[in-house]
Amino acid sequence: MLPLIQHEVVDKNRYITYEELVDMISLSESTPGSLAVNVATFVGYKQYGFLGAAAATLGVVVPSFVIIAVLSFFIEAFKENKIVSFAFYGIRIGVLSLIINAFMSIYKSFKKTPVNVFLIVLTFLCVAVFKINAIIMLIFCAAAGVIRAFITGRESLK
Amino acid sequence: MIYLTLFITFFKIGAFTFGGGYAMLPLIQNEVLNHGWATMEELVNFLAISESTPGPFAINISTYIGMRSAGVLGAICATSGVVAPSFIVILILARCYKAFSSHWAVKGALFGLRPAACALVLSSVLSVFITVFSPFWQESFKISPLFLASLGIFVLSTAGCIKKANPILVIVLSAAAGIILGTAGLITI
Repeated sequence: MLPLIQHEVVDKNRYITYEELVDMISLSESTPGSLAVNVATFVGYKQYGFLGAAAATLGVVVPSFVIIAVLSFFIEAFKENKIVSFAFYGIRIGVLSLIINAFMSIYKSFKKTPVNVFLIVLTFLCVAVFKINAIIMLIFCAAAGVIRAFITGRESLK
Repeated sequence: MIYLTLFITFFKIGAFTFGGGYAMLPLIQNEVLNHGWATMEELVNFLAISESTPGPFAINISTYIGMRSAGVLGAICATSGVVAPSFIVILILARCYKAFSSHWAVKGALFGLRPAACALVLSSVLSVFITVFSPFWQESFKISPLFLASLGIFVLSTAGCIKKANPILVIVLSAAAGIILGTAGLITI
């Protein structure tokens, strides 16, 4: 997705600079929502303020909205179909593999410090075993990160 | 008021979307199952549909759930709910994002959010695993032909994913395997 965004927003239309796009990618990590929506809102705002932001965000959402809205009729219509049910039986196994793969690439992407491993194990146990709301664990881990940064000193983050 | 419920529920989900679609599954699962909007099997089926269509999972799932539970207006409410938090946050930060991103507290929070997102993806692995394999444990566990075949599909598709196979190819091939098992009379629905 990123090359497409870069082509349209930076190279072709020059809505924002390459540096601003890089800043947006890092901002996207620490704000909710997906990168595409965040970039759309930012680019729209820079061009025409609030209305621009609303228009660009609407633009990025509409294609998937329309596709899924149409598809949902077919999903409902074929729900009772035997062949479709068989296909989805296999697909659920494939999805399991896709998620395992996603987990492995995320797990590889950061340092396994004792604090990190502790937070992973704690969050996993709380959410998967003790059924604690994931939102509570996200807030807890973010707070733990802030406290850690406060204790170890701001310099350690640079 | 189903429309307001959809908007608020997906606003909540949207406000805590860090680290992509699979990290969102525990949140969505919690809300969607509690409201009775879909079953876990339907959610896992939809993960595959979302993987094969454009757009981020957050938007796809909110449109789908909104559509199912309250038609087009429901889909509009759920989708605008999921987008609203990031829209508002980016509007607020558009002028001061540099100071925000480089603030020590934000970096610190991110330090904690990354392992949290990783753990949420791992809990998605567990709940999808349970969805797929728990029927084999329902009474007493017996090694059936369907169990062996399912395990075979699982091993092959995981190997494919590790070898960086295209996700859509993995989905298509596992669908074909499911159809073969079904027509061979192994799957009882």
